[in-house]
Amino acid sequence: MQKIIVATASLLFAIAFAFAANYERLITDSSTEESGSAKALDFNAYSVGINTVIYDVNGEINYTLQANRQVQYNDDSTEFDKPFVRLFQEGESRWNLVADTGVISSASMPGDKDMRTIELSGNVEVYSLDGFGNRTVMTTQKLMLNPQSETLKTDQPVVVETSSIRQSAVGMDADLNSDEITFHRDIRGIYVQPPTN
Amino acid sequence: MYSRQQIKQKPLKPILICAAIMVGHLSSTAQELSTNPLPQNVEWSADGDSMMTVTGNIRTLNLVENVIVTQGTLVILGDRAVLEYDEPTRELIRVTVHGTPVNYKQQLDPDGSTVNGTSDSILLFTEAVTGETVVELAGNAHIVSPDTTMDCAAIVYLPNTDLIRKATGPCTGMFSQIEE
Repeated sequence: MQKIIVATASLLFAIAFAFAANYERLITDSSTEESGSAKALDFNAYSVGINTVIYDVNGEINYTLQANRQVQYNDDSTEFDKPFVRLFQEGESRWNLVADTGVISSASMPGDKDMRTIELSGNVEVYSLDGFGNRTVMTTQKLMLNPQSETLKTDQPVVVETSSIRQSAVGMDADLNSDEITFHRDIRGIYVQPPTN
Repeated sequence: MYSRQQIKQKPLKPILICAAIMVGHLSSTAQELSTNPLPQNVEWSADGDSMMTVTGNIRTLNLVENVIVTQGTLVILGDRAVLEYDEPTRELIRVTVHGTPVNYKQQLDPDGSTVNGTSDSILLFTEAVTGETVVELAGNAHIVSPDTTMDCAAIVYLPNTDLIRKATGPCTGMFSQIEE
């Protein structure tokens, strides 16, 4: 019994000694990693719960952009978490877009950031309600939005659904001003007869 | 022996019941026919570009390249198609398929009898008044059904009853049933 106690104590002492000997090296490695990461993630602004309103030349609302979080990086790109974009026409909100993330790239367009395209990624949904109460929903995983011209573009699989029609395709260009949607290939659609009242 | 009053009253009750049943049947039939969307689901596919536009109350879908339109056992194959959809009522009004030529085929009965046709264009819709599915073959129309083989400039065909409603000449071929 005594031998077991001594052996256990020796083992514990050896482990503690080994940890102490390497502690300083572990701390040094960690701080080196942190300083390296801090250099890659250079940002100059961080906001939570943003709500941006963009006006057109006539002073009317062009579009609004809300997000849970916004990070503006030194390379002039901006990243949004859970963006929600509302596009306005003649003072009324017609089209709404949501996604998991949004990015305004620094390379997309020079000059005014408000003119740049927004890349929406992850569970992207574009929806509107027409005058007859019919809802139109477009879903895809990645979409380029130009909020000024109200145009959309994707090369990903996309599904468009109205009250009775569902159409899927690969690739889409949409002009939300004129309600024109062009699907590029692999078109599949179905019309489901509405229930009679 | 019944009195005159009893004779008048006795058949009245069953007559009223019959009348009520007939009125109910007619009104439900009228309601069914007054809305005239294409019955059953309609499906389509295409390989090329497709454009969806909205003008007024009508949503139009244009399809190109290897277009296939199906409705139950009805199949139409063409080069391009136009589907028109009424937004307020959410009903598919008509489908027009163009091709060189457009091919049409449909199984008419569970026993496998079929109808086949070709033409420059085919219009598929449901008639408002009768609720009938109508297949209009226009331009170099050719149709072969269990009872009919015809070539005409245009043919209006009712697949539910296997009837030729109208044939626009010049026509050749033989037919056994034409709707009067």
